Amino acid sequence: MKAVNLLPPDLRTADRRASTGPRESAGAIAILGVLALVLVAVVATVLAQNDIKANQRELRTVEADQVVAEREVSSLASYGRFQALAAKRLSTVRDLAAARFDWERTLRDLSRAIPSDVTLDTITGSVSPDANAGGGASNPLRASIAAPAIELTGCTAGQFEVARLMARLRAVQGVTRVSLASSQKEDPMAEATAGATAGATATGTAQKREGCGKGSQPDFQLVIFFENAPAAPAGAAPTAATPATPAATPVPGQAAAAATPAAGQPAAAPTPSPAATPAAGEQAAATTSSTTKEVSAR
Amino acid sequence: MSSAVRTRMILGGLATAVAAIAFWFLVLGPKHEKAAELGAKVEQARTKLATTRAEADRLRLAKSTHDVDYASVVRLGKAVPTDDDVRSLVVQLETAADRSGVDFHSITLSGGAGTSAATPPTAAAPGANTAAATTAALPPGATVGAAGFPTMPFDFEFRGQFFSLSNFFSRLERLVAVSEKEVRVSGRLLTVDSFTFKPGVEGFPAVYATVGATAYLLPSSEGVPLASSMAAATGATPAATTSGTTPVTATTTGAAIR
Repeated sequence: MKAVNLLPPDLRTADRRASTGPRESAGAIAILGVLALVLVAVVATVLAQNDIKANQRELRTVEADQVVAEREVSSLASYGRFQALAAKRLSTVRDLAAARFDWERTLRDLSRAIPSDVTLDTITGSVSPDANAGGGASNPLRASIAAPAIELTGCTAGQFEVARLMARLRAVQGVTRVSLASSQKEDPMAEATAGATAGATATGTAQKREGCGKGSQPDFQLVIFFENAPAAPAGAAPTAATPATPAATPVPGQAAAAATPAAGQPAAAPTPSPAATPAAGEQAAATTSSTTKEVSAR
Repeated sequence: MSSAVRTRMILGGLATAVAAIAFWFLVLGPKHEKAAELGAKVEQARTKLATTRAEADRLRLAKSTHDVDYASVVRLGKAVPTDDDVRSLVVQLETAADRSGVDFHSITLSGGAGTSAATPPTAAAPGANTAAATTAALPPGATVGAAGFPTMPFDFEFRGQFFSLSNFFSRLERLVAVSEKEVRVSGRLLTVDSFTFKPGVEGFPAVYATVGATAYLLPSSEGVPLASSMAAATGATPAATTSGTTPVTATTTGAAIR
């Protein structure tokens, strides 16, 4: 069956016109959408521009603060340089002072370690083989080790005493090596010939005889090395290093092999051989009151 | 909906999308990039400012401790002066010898006498000009040591007893005493390099001692700067108006430097 439109033609047109409404509303929606997009774009642009301006303001502020701070730094720079100078100089002086070898303690320890039957001719100390006061060093062993060392020359009653001396010197604090260059008894005939020629020599010989006893006594030359130097550690005041250590106060009278000091024995242990102590009175009493002081010498 | 209308709508959508993309790439994107770039610059500037302010804080602290630092350097100048200052050294040695019961017999400048200023540095040596300038500024007899520190080697002769001389060595060391916390300066810094003890004419315990020691100097260019010049730089009142040379008066004797 065929459908038939019963409306009059004019009404048919009105109906067609009414059907165009939704098309127009779609266009309006599209325009509104475009406007909304434009609005969003404008807002985003404004926000971005605000962000830029805020950052620029912040940058200017920070740079201004930087200029002020740099001006302050430049005005105070001399104080900083001076502080650095002071710290550097203090460090330099501290290092130099701390690196010094503690000769005072070493000499005192040495005086305690040397037995009473040993007579010394010379004591020569040096921090290195190159350093020689008055050209006194003559021992060839000294040049072999670049460390502080003390050269001793003297005489003693016999070779056994030389060995004992070496053992006791080895026990002195800081001593790492005791090297014997020579220990030689004089030829009595040659001595008699030479001794008759010089009076001064005779005097010295007489003193030597007194110190070393009668008979043929060996003259020795030895070197004690302090290879772990600098002995004065950083931070130790010289006065703080003065207490005698047991190692520096071996008990005299013991055999060479037993010359190792008794651990824990007080430094003030009485020792039976004070006879040949130089300056055994006033000076020594102040520093090493009742300890052994037995440097014998001509 | 007719196909023409649909086509128009599609074209409109495409145009809108193209416009949005163009807007992003041409307008909004560059602005965001610029904002980010400025943000990074701000961060860098803030970091730099923090560093500068920290430096300023450190320098303010240095300024607040300047009096102490200045006093320290002046005291250290007593131990290591810019001048050879032998007169002061002789007085200190004589005093220490007297107190130790030792006779201070002689003092001799040894080693580099006459060689320091006369010997030209090798041309090939790096920093030769600086070394030459340093050497030329040294007092006669001083030499530049291995560590680049000017030194003056001396030989001294003393006469006394063994333990007196030992005590004398101790006094020499105590002129500059070092502990963990402080350096106590009461005189010249001396390093005893060598010594020889020989019996005196009358025999032991009288001893003739020959001592080789090294005294240290500072190059004159490293002297204490004028306090007034530093104050002028900051516009502050100088805390001390000591001259540029290191004073060796007794006012600093025994003072400790931490």
